[in-house]
Amino acid sequence: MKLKRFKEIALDGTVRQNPTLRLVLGTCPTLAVTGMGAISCLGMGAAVIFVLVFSNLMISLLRNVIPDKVRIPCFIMIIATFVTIVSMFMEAYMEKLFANLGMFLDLIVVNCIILGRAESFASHNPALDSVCDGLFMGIGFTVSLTLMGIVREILGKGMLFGVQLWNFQIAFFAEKAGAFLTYALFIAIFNVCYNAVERKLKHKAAHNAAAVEREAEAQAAASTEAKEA
Amino acid sequence: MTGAQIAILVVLLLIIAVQIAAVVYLLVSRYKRHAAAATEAKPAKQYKHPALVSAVKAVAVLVCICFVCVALLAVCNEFLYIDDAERFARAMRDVYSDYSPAEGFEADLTHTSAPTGNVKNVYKSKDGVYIIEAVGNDGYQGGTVTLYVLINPDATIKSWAIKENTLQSYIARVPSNAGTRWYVGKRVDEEFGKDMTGATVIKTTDAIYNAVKAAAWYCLNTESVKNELGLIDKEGLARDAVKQLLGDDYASATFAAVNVSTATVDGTEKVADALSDETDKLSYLFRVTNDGDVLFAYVYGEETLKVVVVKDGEILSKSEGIEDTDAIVVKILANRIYTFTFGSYNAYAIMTSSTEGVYTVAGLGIGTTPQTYVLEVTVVADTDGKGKVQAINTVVDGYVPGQPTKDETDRMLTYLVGARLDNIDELYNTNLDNITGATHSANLIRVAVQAALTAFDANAASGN
Repeated sequence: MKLKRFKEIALDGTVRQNPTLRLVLGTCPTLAVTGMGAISCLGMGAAVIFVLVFSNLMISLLRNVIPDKVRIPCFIMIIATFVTIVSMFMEAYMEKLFANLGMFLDLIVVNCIILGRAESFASHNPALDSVCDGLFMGIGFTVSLTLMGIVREILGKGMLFGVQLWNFQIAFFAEKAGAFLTYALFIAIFNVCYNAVERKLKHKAAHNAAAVEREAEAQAAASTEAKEA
Repeated sequence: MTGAQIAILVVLLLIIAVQIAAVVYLLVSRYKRHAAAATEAKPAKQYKHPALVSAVKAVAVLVCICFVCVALLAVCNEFLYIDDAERFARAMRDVYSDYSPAEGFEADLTHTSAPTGNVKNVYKSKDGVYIIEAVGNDGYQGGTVTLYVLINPDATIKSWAIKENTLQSYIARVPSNAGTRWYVGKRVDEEFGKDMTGATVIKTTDAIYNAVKAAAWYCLNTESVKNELGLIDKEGLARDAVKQLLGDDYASATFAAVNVSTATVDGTEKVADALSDETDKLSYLFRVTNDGDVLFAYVYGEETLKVVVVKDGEILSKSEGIEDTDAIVVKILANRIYTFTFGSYNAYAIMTSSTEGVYTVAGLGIGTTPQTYVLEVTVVADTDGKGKVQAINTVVDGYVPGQPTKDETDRMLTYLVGARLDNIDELYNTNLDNITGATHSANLIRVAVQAALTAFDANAASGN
């Protein structure tokens, strides 16, 4: 895979098509898990990364074998397998995290991000690209989730990663309504920043293009003059 | 890992290898077909029934993927499976960190099918705590919840922990600390309702309740556990001993147990202590009613029960080996118990002393209201020689704050000054019975006074 392609996939997954803040996918776990604290968010993110990477890999490898008619059942079967594995692993080695995440871990099976990437990317791209896509999509999801979890944990419980910082709490942020507000604020801030950067980049690109055009025109004029002379 | 497990693992690995080989073969063959198509534009193979072929192919691929996934899960399960021992250790870490198994304990699993679930296994700790693995039925979608229910040596529930569940999608909504809050401290032989404080699921908490009840049922129905937790109906055994002594004539008698460990004879000394000595301890005292007869049955001892039955202050019957001169018998006769019946209400009094017409009498509460009034009733001879109350002093006030007021209760004593056995009913009905909420106090006062008058008249009749 070329470096440019790798950069594209990495940027898409983490910024341009950030599943949580740009595509607004995986909303259910986002709203629910961010209220359980930043550690749970990291755990959920790790589980999603694992499932995304391995399901993308397997779907990509089998993309030419899976008939179009049964692709969704096949995708679901593969995703469910990896979700079960991650769930079994967490139950065996991360008891508390497993108990905290509860049914949200099993619900990864129907997470739109995973099914969406399987359908739109892994089933059309080579294995390595799909693995990278899964990895960066997962990272984008994990970072957004963890940041939101941190904000809600600090404001709602006065804690950070389970450590009590102070007794000041705004209980609203620990509640369900607080989840919606935090999510909305994150989407707004992220998109304002994203649009500003994009405008700046477009402007810069247009400016560079104009400069190149002007230079080309100047070179053309100079060569004409030279010919005439 | 056992030989069987290794064999299963090898078979699973073989299945996976075959599946992977099949997939690789499909991929390679497809690639080769593409390559060949690119070099030599061959017309695509025409099937007679293309739709059928396509459907078969789709199903075949789906089935293959299923097999691969199942095999993968089977292998993972082999390494990540949490066995019962690990689950038990985890549960104990949460609710009973001091757990250490009792040596040589063997679970008695003869009674495991409770009405609300069933018991799968029983463990016991060194300090006598029973850990019962119980399944509760009727959860969400008809599923079950399996708990480890810990029972203290005093038959109270210590805590519980969830082991596993079936179909309980919302079990995470049961608060994580519920195992150390819900039902804790309840006795297994008492009736208790459902507790779901802090939970937002109903059916799952029903299954938890059913599992706890199944564990309680096991304790009550397994003889060895029942003995060890002290769940034997000792009162029932004492009652049977009395019935056996009294014979068939009292087969249909009604028994009312006096709470001997809370009722007092003088406001401070418990009935059990007053009627016990160094060798014999009073365990139960029954008022036995049979066709108008009122008897008092005293039951002594823990393992070998001794019974003394008294009627009208005289020994009616007693167990073998008890002599009239025994200290116990003397004590029983000294603390003569009077009983009176007013309508549907029975009350009794113990007379502890009588000196020169001043009788110290305790009106004892029965059943669940064991308060005591101890009165000094001064009785003098009326014109016809019958006893008449001259004064009543309170030695121990059995007043319980509430209805009626203290003043009203105190006034009840003054109403009975001047009472005789032949007019006490009238005085009671006129002055005491109409005080709202004072039934119990009024009866205790009345029975004490009535006992003093009865004793005076009996003494007068016998010329003492």
